[in-house]
Amino acid sequence: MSERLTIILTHQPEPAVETMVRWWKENAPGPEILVAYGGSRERFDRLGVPYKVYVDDSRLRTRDHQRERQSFAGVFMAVNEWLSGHPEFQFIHLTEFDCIPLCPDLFGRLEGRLTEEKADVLGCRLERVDGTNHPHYLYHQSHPEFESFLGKLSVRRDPRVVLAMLACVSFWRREAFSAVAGAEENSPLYVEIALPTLAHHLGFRVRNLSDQSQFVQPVGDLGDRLETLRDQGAWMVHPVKEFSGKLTTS
Amino acid sequence: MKTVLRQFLKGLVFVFGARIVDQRTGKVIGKALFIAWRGRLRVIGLEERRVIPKFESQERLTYWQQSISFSTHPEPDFPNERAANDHFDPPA
Repeated sequence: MSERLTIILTHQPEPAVETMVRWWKENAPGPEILVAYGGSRERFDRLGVPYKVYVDDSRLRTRDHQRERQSFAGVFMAVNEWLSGHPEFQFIHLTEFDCIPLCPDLFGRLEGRLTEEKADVLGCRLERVDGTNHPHYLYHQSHPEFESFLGKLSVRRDPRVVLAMLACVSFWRREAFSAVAGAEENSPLYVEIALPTLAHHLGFRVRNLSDQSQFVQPVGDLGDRLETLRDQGAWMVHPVKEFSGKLTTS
Repeated sequence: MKTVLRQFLKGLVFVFGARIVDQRTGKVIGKALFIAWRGRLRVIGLEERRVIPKFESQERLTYWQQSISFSTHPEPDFPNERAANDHFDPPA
């Protein structure tokens, strides 16, 4: 039984999701695929994939993600509940549907990097932002509960540390994933702040995928540069808005 | 209108912006305009750079001027501290 789990977070129509899951199984084989679905309940019920969970959380379905502080708390809770019936999974790759693997052994590379870094969580564009001009940090700083929330949660000597990373892809040891899933957010956190900061203050080691961060961008569309980026060393690419199942990873 | 103003200010930053040197690494990290506005300094042009402002220490004491400089955090490299199950208790 595999101990590897890839979670694909998506809200796309069922046929697109089913095609994508088949594509992942063929082009990035090894891990089981769990679809975390953020679309409508009706579509979720019709979705024909082996493993799926429905994310019933209004804080995932934001329009102005940063200002409304979009959250993956519902995703983590739904997946964690599902994981309780699947003790075999030890490594968790969380990816949005528009982050596309460009190598067949993506999971193995991420797992290798996690081991090499002695890390518990890997993410792209990880940075420390407390005390800086980072807009998301300053926005959170205005919330009266933010600092005290971190102070109560933290096992670290310095509870003021705030980390940020992109949320479109991350890689987790199960213990770290479950601990973050169980952390109650008394102060509403934007997902890019929440994931690394909660993991850090719960005592886990969070590290940057520094060599991959250039291929994982917050906005735009890299869909027309996949071959070029692969030649430049990309393991995966984000965002790819118009994914055609014709791409192969080999 | 806001977009036009923003683009105009970005153009001004490109032409007239002051070079910002990271005091930790010594590298130039960007350019910015500093505009005094309603009792505060508005900083324009550093949206892609995370900087920490700080009044510089002075080897020579002066009363009439002080300097504000900028530095950055190093990449996060904190150890796993799960063994510390309890919250840190500061020394009494």
